[in-house]
Amino acid sequence: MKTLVIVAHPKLAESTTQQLLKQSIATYENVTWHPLTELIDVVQERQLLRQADRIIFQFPLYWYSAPALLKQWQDKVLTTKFATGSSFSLAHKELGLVVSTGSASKTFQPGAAEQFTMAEILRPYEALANKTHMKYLSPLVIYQFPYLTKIEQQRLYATYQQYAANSKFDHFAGQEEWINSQLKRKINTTKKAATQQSLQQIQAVLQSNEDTLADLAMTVEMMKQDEDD
Amino acid sequence: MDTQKWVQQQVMTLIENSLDFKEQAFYQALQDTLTEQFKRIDQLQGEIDGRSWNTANW
Repeated sequence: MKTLVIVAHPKLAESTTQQLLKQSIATYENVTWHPLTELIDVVQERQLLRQADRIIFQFPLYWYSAPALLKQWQDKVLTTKFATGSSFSLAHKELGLVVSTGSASKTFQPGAAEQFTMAEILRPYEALANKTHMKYLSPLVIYQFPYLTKIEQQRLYATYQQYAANSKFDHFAGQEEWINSQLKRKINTTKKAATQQSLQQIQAVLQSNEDTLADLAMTVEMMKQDEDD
Repeated sequence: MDTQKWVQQQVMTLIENSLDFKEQAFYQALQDTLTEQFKRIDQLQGEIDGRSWNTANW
């Protein structure tokens, strides 16, 4: 799966959030980090879009929307002819959003400071995905990055890696599979014998749990069917 | 010590011995995945137990 991350941030170099995200996918060959500038080469942009299976709009929330950089890019690149019309050049691709905001998660609900949920605020992108026949992914929203603890930052780091590169990031089975494959790779590249042995033992438990879960789920399914009969 | 405690202690030791943010992030994700697995196993076993004791099916 190829992913194109379209980063729309007017002060990209100063953003610690964006630096963390960029670092987390730095070694991923199938993920292209593409920061927008005001100079837009429409032909090249469309070429990048055509090559991608998953397209991510990544931006800080400015007045409940993306910075002007992204809107300008949308207006120039996503013309009716390209995105809809007879070509539907983006059809069947996935559209993901990675949005950062300085407000707390709990403020995005009726009766709270922001009044509206994040899903409501991001609705124009959902409409865009719908119109262009793309599959809209659940957005990854980063609330108040500066207040995240080290462990929370590490969780974001790993979650973002899967959002960018795991085709099945939104199911637990897909996450298990991803972690398992990363762990196997780690075992193969670890030089210290004691660490390698520990990783192998952990991997055996992870695999065994995965098998147990599949067996239990099947048993429950059979019991449900028996009850329905 | 049961398997869950043992394996999660192993991962914790790896986190503590690592000085690399990226590596720690991976081990933390591994720890979270194991926690979720054990939780789901427990829930499914509970569900099977509950359905087995459902007198309506006896």
